[in-house]
Amino acid sequence: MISRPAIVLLALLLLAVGAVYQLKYAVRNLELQRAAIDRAIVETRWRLRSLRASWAYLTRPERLARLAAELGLEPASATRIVELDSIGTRDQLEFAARPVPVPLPSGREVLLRAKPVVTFAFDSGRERR
Amino acid sequence: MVERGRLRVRLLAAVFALAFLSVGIRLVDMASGGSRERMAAGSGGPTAAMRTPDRAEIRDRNGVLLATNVQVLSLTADPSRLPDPDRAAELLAARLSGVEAAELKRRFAVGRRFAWVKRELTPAEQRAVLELGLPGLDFRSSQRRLYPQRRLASHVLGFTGVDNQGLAGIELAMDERLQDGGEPLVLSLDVRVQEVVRDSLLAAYRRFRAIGACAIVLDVRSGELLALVSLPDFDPNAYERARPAERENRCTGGVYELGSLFKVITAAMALESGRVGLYDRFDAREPIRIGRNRIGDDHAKKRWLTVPEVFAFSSNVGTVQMAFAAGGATAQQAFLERLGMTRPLEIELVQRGRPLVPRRWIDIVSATVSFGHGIAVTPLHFAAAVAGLAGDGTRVAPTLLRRDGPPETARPRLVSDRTVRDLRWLMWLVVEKGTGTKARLPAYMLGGKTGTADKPGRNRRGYDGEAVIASFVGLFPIEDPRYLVLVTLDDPKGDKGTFGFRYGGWTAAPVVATIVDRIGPILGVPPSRPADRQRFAARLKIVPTMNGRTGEMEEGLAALDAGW
Repeated sequence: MISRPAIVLLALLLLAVGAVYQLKYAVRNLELQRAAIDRAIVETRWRLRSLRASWAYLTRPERLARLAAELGLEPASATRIVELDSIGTRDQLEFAARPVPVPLPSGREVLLRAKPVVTFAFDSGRERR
Repeated sequence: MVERGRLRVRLLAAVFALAFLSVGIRLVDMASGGSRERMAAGSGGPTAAMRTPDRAEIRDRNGVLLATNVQVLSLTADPSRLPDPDRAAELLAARLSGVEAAELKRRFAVGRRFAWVKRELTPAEQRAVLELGLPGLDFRSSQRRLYPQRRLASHVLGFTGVDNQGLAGIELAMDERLQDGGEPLVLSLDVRVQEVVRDSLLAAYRRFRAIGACAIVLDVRSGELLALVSLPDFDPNAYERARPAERENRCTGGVYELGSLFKVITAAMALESGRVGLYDRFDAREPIRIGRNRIGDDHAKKRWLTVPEVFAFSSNVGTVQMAFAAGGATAQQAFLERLGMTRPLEIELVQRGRPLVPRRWIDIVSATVSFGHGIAVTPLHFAAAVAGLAGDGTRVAPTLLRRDGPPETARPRLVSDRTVRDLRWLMWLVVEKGTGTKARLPAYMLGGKTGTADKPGRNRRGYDGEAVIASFVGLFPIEDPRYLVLVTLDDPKGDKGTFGFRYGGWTAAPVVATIVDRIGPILGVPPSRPADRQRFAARLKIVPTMNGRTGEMEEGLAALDAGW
């Protein structure tokens, strides 16, 4: 003869055991997942490292200089730097207005002409310097 | 009695219930993994993954990667678990470069439990091995130091050994800091400048068949080294293959007699002493006699020379007299001491040359030191000294680490502002009209000094008589110097283009000009202004000369056919 409260208690106990069991497995799964993510983080970190190293290797100045030379570019020279003031406004505008030949994909070439927005409104005679 | 018995049972039950409850709570707690100790002690927690305890990276001043660690995989095998060792050896040898089937078969001999197959596989090889799907193979991961810029900064960076410990260069000098991991170490170098300097120096090194060369670019204001190149150099990724001559850092490790370059120091000393005026004259008609020794000029003018002429023509005879007029040995010793030329270099490297300073300062020693013989310093010693003298007149401490913000301590003063101004003008004159005209540039006003030093003979006695150290030190823009460029070529041979001359003005000066022309725009230095050019040129007209006429010096200098 088992008393009623005892049956209730037993049922509760079984329920509790089941819950703990479930919890334990859920946690174990999460831990496995976490370990996998940690491993992935480390691996990604290393991969990032080696990609950064590749980037540095591929963009090293010596290689860029060689590639640029193949494209017909030249090393920079200080003679290319000129103060804007030393070029007259008229020359600046003429330069901006010069027609630029642009090859089209069809092989034809068109002349692109930019129309300066500013004309001689700001010309304070600086070009005579 | 009965009452007491019931009470006892209940008490016992309560105690047991409490005990089971606490056990139950602990059980749930543990199962959920929530307890703190476990988090901390747990294997492979998130904190452990974040922290990759390895050597810190090295970057240039703009964040470009100079040295980093990458993971490499090596392949090992347990021959006893290989189904068919001979067949496996053939399969592996076909897929891995540098691996011989016969050698593998030997390593896979019966009874062994471990064998190396190949160290440091490429990703492609790794995939190929995985595709084989052979049992008994295993990957081992290890770290490797990688230098993506290859030879570019080999002498600055140095290299590390198999256990990732620094063995040379900054890797050794800053080993502790790098071992601790953490933030990347940021150097003062600029890879763009370093590349221009190396490229230009290498061209001259090859053209003149020099046995060695050094080039330095120094920020005159902060003392930061933007470039330091020593040739021949090596690839730190394969440092084992580097020959001793390639490992030698000629900019900081070797000491050299720099010859006429030293006249910058003598001129500064003489002007600062107050005993020599800029327009004082010295008799350079005859070689000078000191005891049994005679000191002459390479290209004697055979007349009296003013200080600017002595400097611009690089007259030994005049310079010796300037040194004696300024106080001779006592003054020289004090001045060299103040410039830091008597102590080993202070720099974040291990190869730090100790200057060879004369022990007895007899007259002949004083005389030769004034034009850079009988004293040997590293090129970096000299660069720092000139940066101080022609910069803002205070001492410059060169560094390889990026300096953020102004230096903490005030720098000790070397010379007055007046001396700085005069020295800049003298150096400008060398390039404009003197021995350094091959360094002239359209964009920047350059100041400099040429040097062609006789190399000591092999037995360390007397001079070789043939080999020279040709050099040029340049500052730009000279009206307000930002950067110093020093180039030295060890034993250059003249060619048709230089009419066989090996003088610094013919071999080293053009290298400095090329470097300045190319790095000026990179560093954002605006071209010299016409007003400054006129100011410098105007000073030529007021130089008084022997017979009281002004302008004679200008004529004399102009008559001189291209420098040497």
